[in-house]
Amino acid sequence: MAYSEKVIDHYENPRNVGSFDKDDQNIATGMVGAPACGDVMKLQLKINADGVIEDAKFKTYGCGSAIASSSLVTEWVKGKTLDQARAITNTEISAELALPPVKIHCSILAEDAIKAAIDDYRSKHPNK
Amino acid sequence: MNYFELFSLPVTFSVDQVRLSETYRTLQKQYHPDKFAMYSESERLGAMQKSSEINDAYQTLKNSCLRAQYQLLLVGLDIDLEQKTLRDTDFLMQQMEWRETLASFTEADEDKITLFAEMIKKQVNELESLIASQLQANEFEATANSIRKLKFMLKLQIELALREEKLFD
Repeated sequence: MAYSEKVIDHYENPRNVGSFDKDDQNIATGMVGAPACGDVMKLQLKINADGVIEDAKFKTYGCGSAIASSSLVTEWVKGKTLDQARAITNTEISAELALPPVKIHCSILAEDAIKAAIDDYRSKHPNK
Repeated sequence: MNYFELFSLPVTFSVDQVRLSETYRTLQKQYHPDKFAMYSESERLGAMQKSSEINDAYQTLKNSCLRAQYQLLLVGLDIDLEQKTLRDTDFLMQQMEWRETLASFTEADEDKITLFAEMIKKQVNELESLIASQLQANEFEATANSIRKLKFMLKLQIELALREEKLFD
């Protein structure tokens, strides 16, 4: 299967790979996995006092599309509020990366990672 | 006729692998295309379909993950093609740690890799025992979740084999 140029770019030069301290109160951690392919994805957001995402990092074990989807998402969420970030859909991710139908689940995983991270943050800060 | 019936086996998670492969060979002989060379076209077609069903059944029954998944299918729970996302943080953190360990191995780590492989195998065995008892107790949703976890473990074993190949071949 041929990967799109954007997927290859993110795969070869992944943005924002790494980790933050998951116990830090300003860090939201989303851990998700896709049983069908065994991919594991960790997305972490650094959120400031105004509820805006200042920085994001990811670590993904999976195929090129899964890595590209999570890399793209770390770029997209920066500067967004939690609600704006939650509104990112897998359709937008897969359209941007021109993912073929068999790889749509990679973009779903990235969308779910954002939601999992936001849920983690809200469990740390129930009133935000 | 379901796959278990086709192989005259009880519908249980634990399967006698010796008996399974013996029955497979017997059935394959019985429906071998050569035996049907003199028959009508529709009979030949029927034998061919039977033969491919026997193959599918064998592949399903000999693999613990596919077998468990098939048992769920028999009670109406189809998780084969699901696109479900697992969100069990502790389990996934552990998976990620193991992938990191795997990626860190070098040629000098042969002993460590052996220990790692044994540890993973033990985890797989424990999950399979859990699946057996969950199926026995008709806890199908819990079984489905254990199968999902098993898939990550099997993926880890595949990655481990690839890593070993790369380091030592």
